[in-house]
Amino acid sequence: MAISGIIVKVQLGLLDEVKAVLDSMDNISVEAVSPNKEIVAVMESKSLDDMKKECFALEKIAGVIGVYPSFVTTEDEIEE
Amino acid sequence: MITRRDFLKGMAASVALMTAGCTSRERGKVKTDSGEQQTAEKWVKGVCRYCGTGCGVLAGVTRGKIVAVKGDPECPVNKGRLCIKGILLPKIIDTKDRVKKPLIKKDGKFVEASWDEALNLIAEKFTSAVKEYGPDSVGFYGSGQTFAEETYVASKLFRAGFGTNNIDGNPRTCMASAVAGFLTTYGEDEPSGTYADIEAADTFFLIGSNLAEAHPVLFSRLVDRKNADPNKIKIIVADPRRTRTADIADYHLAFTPGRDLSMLNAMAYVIVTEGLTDEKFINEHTEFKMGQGDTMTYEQYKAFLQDYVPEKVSDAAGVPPEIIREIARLFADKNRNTMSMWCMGLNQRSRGVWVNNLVHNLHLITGKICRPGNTPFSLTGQPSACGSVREVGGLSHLLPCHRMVANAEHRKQMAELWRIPEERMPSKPGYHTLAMFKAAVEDKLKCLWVMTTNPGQSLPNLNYYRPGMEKTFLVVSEAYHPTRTSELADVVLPAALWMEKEGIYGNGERRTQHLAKAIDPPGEAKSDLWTLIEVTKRCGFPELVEGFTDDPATVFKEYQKCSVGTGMQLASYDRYKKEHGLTWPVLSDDAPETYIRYAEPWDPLVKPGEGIKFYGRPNGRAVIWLRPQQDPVEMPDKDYPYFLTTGRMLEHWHTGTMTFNVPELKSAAPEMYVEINPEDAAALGIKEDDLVNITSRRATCKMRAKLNGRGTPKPGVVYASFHDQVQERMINFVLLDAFDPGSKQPEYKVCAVRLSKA
Repeated sequence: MAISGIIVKVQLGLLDEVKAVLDSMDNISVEAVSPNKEIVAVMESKSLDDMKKECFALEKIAGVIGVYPSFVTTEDEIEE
Repeated sequence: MITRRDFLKGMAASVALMTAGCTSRERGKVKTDSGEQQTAEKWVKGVCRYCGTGCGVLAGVTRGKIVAVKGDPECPVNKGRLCIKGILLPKIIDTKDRVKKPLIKKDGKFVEASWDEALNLIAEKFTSAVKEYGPDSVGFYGSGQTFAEETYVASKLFRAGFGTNNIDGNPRTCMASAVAGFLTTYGEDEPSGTYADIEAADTFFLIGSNLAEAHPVLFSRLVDRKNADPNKIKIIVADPRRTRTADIADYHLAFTPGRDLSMLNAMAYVIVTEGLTDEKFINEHTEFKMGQGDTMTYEQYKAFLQDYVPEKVSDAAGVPPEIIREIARLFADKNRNTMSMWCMGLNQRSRGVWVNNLVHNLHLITGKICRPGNTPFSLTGQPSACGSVREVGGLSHLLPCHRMVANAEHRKQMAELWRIPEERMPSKPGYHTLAMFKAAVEDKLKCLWVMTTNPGQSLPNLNYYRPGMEKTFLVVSEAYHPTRTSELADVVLPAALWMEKEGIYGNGERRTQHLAKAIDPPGEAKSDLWTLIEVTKRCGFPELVEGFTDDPATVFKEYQKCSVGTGMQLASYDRYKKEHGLTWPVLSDDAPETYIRYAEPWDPLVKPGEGIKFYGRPNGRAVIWLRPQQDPVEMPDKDYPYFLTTGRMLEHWHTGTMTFNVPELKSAAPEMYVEINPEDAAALGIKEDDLVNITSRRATCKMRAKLNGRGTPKPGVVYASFHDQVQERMINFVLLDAFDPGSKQPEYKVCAVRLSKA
């Protein structure tokens, strides 16, 4: 499992539309909208490969300028 | 009670919220309050291994492995933000192709060897060549990915030891024209401003840069700036290809490749003729020159610009005259701050120095320099091309701390610092990159040591240069094997990678940054610093490395002394270990970093009352150069009717030795493709994903066609990324090896090709 914190940059005027799309996705929880009108979210993916694919898929949503991960871990795969 | 998974999700949210500048109240909503749980046993401070942005990275280490990565929130470059490549950095470490023992080629096959055997063989071959053929029969080809201390020792070994200046590096192929542009204009290398200017600028002029894919975190800062005041902030992107960067621009100028010299002179014409200049700045701080340095007058400059009336040049340049006028006015607007940013689109050209000069001209005639938000800023492509090559003296004409080989006083200073007789400092500049590899082809270069770079894939016109690499005694220090260079080697040395070792990087904004060691290298891999010190000793020059150990602090201490009294004075190693990078000059460990050079109150080298002083120039004045349009060496014709230009894509980096090793990145972009304008494709009967021959006078590549991909070149231009490792898609076989006569940087960005369905 890969858990990542991401920042989604959005074209001005399309914030609500993009946020609605992210809200509807099962593996993404929207945490906040930043002062710069970016969407801050946590994404859970089966693997890093899926995380990457999902980031690129997010970039294809109309209104998304870029997706910037700020944290990722697969640490919960290492269990005692 | 929250679960471990909840905790990790909370941690991910918390870091992202902090990075995005959210309030503590918003961050407080996140459940991370278990108190006892941690995401890693320790967090280690480093710098990203990829582009020249220099993002701060924190690597989370558990049981000797990096298990998590986050952007360093205290690093002013990225403030916690990373791109997709950066966040996947740990994946470059445990790969199947890591070299874990020295390899020596015997009877055409690589066999494992001991370090002693490999190092003794290298020492014997290099010293024998020097004895038999002279010092210029050996060379070193380094990289903007080594640590500063490594290049410093290499420079000392080759110059003071072997007695040759045959030490060059891959920054020659990416930003030598920017170096020469800064030097010829200001007398000092590297930008006057920093990334902080992004938050202070109102007009952005991007030329030859696809920031969105090549420097994504800087792009995010640009987008932030735009979004802060979208009506006021204006972005101009000049690029023959429509890119993701152009998508956010107010103006996209799809100029004809190579004709940007005309376009920039036409902008200057508008600024001068419409009275938009800063006459006081021009009078007090500039002078005019042309050719090799002939002094000209302001009036002669005005007369020179008469050839660049927008209406005269617009057809050739491919930009409408009214747009040239509009952007010139925007650039020069006295109520706005203007920042230019450029990258390889300007540098990798046969007139790269001239076109760099022309961007500086625009800032000098408008006085848009030496104030916050006003700066001509060249972007760099590697994490330490500045810190580990330009600054350390890793090019054949440079000595440490921006000293020049051709300057007798500088050689004398270095002889004193290195405690050797002055006559041991070679005075003849060494081979630049293409000359060095040509010398190998011509059997003049007998031994070559390549460190942390891949010229067997990255040089242009590869069919010519690869046989030379095979012929010479080639040592490759590398983390991975095989690469397109190590396959040609005689010895491959296993190198520690990224945070498997400690050292100093310097990014594109003069920021010197320390990377701590996080984990041990695999097998018998060693830091290149250790290897260089060992070879220096075995070649009979132990005095050159006396006191040096594989602790880089021992080397940096001497390097820092070299910087004292120069324009790029550095702080102590201990201070860099504590800080999140400092932009030089830093005159003492109590002194602040320097935001803006050449100007009060920021630059400590400008005395009180001097205001602005370009102290790299003898008269303190920057140079406005009269540089005419000169086309690229190879223009399209009836046989080869298309321009070919190349560049980076977000998922990959350089020759892909790291990024093709990351399955997540490889699967995102498994092969490079050629972008063709839909009009051209229709005329040729080429459809999306058709296999296409791209043929130049030198070679043919086969790539799939993309007609509406992430970028669209203008009609008559095709574009390909250069990362692919599969020979039939290695586009550099097709490229031309013409180079700029001043900077010696190859013209990667323009050549002529024809297309056909494969």
